[in-house]
Amino acid sequence: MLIIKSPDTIQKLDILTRGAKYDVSCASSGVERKTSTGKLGNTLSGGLCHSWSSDGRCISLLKTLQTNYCHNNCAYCINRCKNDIERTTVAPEELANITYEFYRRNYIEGLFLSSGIFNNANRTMELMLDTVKILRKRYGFNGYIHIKILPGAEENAIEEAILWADRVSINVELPTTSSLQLLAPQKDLKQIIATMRKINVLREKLLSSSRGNGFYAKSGQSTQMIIGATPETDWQILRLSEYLYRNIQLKRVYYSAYVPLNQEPILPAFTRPPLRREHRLYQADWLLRFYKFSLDELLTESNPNLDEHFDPKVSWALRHLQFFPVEIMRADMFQLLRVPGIGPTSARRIIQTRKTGTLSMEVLKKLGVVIKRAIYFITIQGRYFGSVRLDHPLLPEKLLERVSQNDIEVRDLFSHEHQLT
Amino acid sequence: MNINLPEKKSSEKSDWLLFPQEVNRDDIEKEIKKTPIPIQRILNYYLLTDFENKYEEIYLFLRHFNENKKIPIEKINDPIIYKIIKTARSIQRQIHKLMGLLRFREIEGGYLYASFTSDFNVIGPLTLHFSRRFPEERLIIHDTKRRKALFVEKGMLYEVVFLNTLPPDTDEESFFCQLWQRYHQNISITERENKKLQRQNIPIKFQHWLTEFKGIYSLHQLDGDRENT
Repeated sequence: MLIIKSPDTIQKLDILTRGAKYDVSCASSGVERKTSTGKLGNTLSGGLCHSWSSDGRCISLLKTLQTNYCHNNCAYCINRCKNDIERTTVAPEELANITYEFYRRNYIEGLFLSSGIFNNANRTMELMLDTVKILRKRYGFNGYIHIKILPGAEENAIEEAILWADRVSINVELPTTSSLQLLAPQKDLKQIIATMRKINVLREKLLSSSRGNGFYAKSGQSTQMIIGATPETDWQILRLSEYLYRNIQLKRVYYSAYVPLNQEPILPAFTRPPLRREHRLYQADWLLRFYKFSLDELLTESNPNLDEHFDPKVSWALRHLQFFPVEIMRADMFQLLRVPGIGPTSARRIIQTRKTGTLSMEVLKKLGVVIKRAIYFITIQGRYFGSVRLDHPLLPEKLLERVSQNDIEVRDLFSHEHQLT
Repeated sequence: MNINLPEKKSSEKSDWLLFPQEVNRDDIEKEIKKTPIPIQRILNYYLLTDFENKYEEIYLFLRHFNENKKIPIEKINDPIIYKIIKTARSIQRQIHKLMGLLRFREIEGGYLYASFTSDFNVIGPLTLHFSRRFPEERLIIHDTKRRKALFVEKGMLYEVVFLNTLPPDTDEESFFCQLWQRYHQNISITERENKKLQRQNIPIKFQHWLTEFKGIYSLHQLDGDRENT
């Protein structure tokens, strides 16, 4: 086999990786596919992490760009045409070979291929598709491939991407048309959402006329939004996510805390990325997808931002004390999932285990319930175990572990004096 | 579905330490095969531990199961059953983690070689995974802590011993090794650095045999290299 190994391969991969890392998507999950003789690789439905970088994020795929030349000038992007940075393009053969060699050493689960737009979207996508086709056909590569759909790509390029990849994605980047207009004038939010719809239609079409020799993007679509570069509220961000999940069947929306890379008057000043906010958005995103919450239960237009101190579920619970305490021995799935500290897995285990006998705090702990949060919101056969009552004014402080039991007792001892004065 | 083992009169849960007779390992393994798949999975994982009395513990587990025909999670209050379920889960997690963390080196003669250490005897399930993933490769997987190595070729599995030192790496090996190390450095976002989170995900005990943590280059050094070339 021809081994391509030029001294500048190292430099090329350096440059292209640095240009690709701000796209946070890295999942390799969603498809379970066996290998066959003469092929290389398989995929696991749960995905697989191969390493973790020093920012703590998982590395599952070789995430890189085909080229970092770009004719767009998006204000937030490191690769915008205005930036004076080293530019390069990797040849499809070269990138396919690196992916193959990385994969057989078990460094990676597959390839995540994105790109700047060189000349025009379609020409660039052709290069990306060449890489993917060399991998699939010449190397018999059967591992995971995630490919970006570049805004403005034509239908035939999108079709081919769907045919050869396990996941395709196009980024909305910012949650409102006006922000995108301002920071990325060459992009149009409505157009991007239309492309997502088109991807679904094309995928259905390909699957129905399938001869079974494609990959058909079986693990669906994802997208990414940058958090904190523009003034949108969490409500605006999550409203778009909820729309994308419910109406376009997206598998994942990624939130990427804005990392200041360019000096621009229209961008916020150089600050630390809003990691806490990003984390809260993911928590809320999980509540929408796995906990049967709807967005208007978490946020409204008049109360548009997630609490910084409490996770969105505790925050909801504190606003809906009348819903609690939940009786563990009788509550249904819906009620259990509302309890802070109980997730889908522990809720399922509770329902299964309580059939054979009474549960106790100890058993709940073994079933995976986070007792220090759940304890204030549940009863077991009518008994309440929390050290403060559910309606106690210091419950929020207690949940933040900011106040000791002693403080609460002393306060309660003299509380009537406050009422008297 | 009864166990062909010496009958125990007492059904006390804590009597396992007082076993008068040793349980027969082959019988236990046969009994495991008769249970439903989810139970088999738990018990087969548990067999990968180094615990001395694991067979006795599994005997008790099976007795509970055969008496009650219940999914064992309902018996989670029993200390042995809890220990078995919990340990099986952590073994399963470690296998999954090592499926990602094993690193192969290409050595002369057309072999891919990986050595690793682990808390449990997981070389079997790991090798199975890699023989499925790389059906065309000749793999040697080596548990250095347990001094056990398996060789796989075309779906055939052999236990091997090393008579001599390993053949040297191929010429390409150091190139891809370096490429991977640099990739690993470059993909990290400096503004988000969180080494603690990294350590949580890759405990130090695994870091010492991982390619990307060997002779760590700092990005500064990488840039210096480039200027020199």
